[in-house]
Amino acid sequence: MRVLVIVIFGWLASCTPALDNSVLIATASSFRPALEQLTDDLEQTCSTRIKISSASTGALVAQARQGAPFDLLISADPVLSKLLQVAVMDRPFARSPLALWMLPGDNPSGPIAIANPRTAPFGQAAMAVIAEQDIELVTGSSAAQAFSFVKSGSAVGGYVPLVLLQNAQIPTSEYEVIDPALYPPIYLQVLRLSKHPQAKCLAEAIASRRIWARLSGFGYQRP
Amino acid sequence: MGAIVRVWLSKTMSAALLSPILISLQLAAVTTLVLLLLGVPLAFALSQMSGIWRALIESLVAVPLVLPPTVLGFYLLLLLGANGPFASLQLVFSFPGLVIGSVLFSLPFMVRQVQAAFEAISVSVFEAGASFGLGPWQRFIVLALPLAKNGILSGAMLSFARTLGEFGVVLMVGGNIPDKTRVLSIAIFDAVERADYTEAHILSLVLILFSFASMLLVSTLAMRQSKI
Repeated sequence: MRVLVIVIFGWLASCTPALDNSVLIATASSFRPALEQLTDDLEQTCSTRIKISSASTGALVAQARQGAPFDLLISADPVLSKLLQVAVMDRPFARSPLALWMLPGDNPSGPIAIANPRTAPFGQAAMAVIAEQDIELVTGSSAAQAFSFVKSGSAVGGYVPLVLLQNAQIPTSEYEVIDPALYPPIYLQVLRLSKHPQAKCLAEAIASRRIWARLSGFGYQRP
Repeated sequence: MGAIVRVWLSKTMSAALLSPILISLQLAAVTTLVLLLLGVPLAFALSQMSGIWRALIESLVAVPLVLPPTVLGFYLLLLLGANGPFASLQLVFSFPGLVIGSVLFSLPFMVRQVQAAFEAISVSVFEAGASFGLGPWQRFIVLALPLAKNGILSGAMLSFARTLGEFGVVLMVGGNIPDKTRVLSIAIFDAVERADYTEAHILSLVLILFSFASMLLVSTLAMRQSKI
């Protein structure tokens, strides 16, 4: 028995992570469901495997500055992107609308969820809409976490990306799309952070017309 | 052998679920190994010391017990990151970086448990050993280690379990890189953030089972110890 434990322990300790040539894409949290659905298509187009990591744009930029091994970064904030001083696809490839989602129920009272405005563009957008109103807020570390606060019922409503609502097939009666004039637009850009040979192919594929046709189905708007 | 186990496991669980489990187990195993090599001699040295130096070193070792993991993670990130003195080693967002963070974080769990086991050994045992001509190193290997065996095993299990559940340090130093640094605790956080509660449930259950098994072993060892 002891021998078995030691053997298993030794095997575990000696396993090295497999070396592979996949492309690591760090994406703003709101774009993750779309990217996951596009993965098969993108992998075929560029003949490479894709791995996905997601967090708020601010968190990803901070990690990249500390040396995170991302090959591509899909950013929702051009201002934050500039901190990285890397090659950017010339134009944003999509605009991501903001919506207000309120859980059904009679006169609910409780906090409204938003993404952290300091690290997430959707948080900044929400604050622009909320302006001077005195509302009880709860902040998620990313737009996706703000969404999950509402989904789990911890918040009675939230300012969340429209694309996440459509992805989760939330009934349209529960949310309204916010007038784009009320907040700074949220543009998605692809940043190339490494010299991985397939990174360029993937960056171009994501911004291509063909992929755009699918993105518009997810709720994205033209930039 | 490893390939056979992987293939079988992959039939029962998808790669997305399997990868964090394996990485967590590997991290816990490697961390525990490093802690056995570093912590056991340190614990013995402390058990034989006295005075101000012992107090200082004991306190230093105990700091990760009370320090918020984010503080440890923050300073490790600065030390090991792209702008720090060890930038060329590329330790952040990598498995070795996680090991460093986990070793520091779980150090008190190994050292304090093992130190208590060494302190339980009567001084007369070492005196007898010395009178037989055993040097200090030999007294450590031949006398102290076997007598503190259960304490060492307990320390190993505690460090293993603690590392399995670690979140704050791992997130800050390792990020959330699939197949590299996405450990169980981070994968659970990630799944909840994406509102994928099925995945969160499965991964949480695995973590609960591992943690419970580790604690069961620790309790069993403690019971055996008290019977001596």
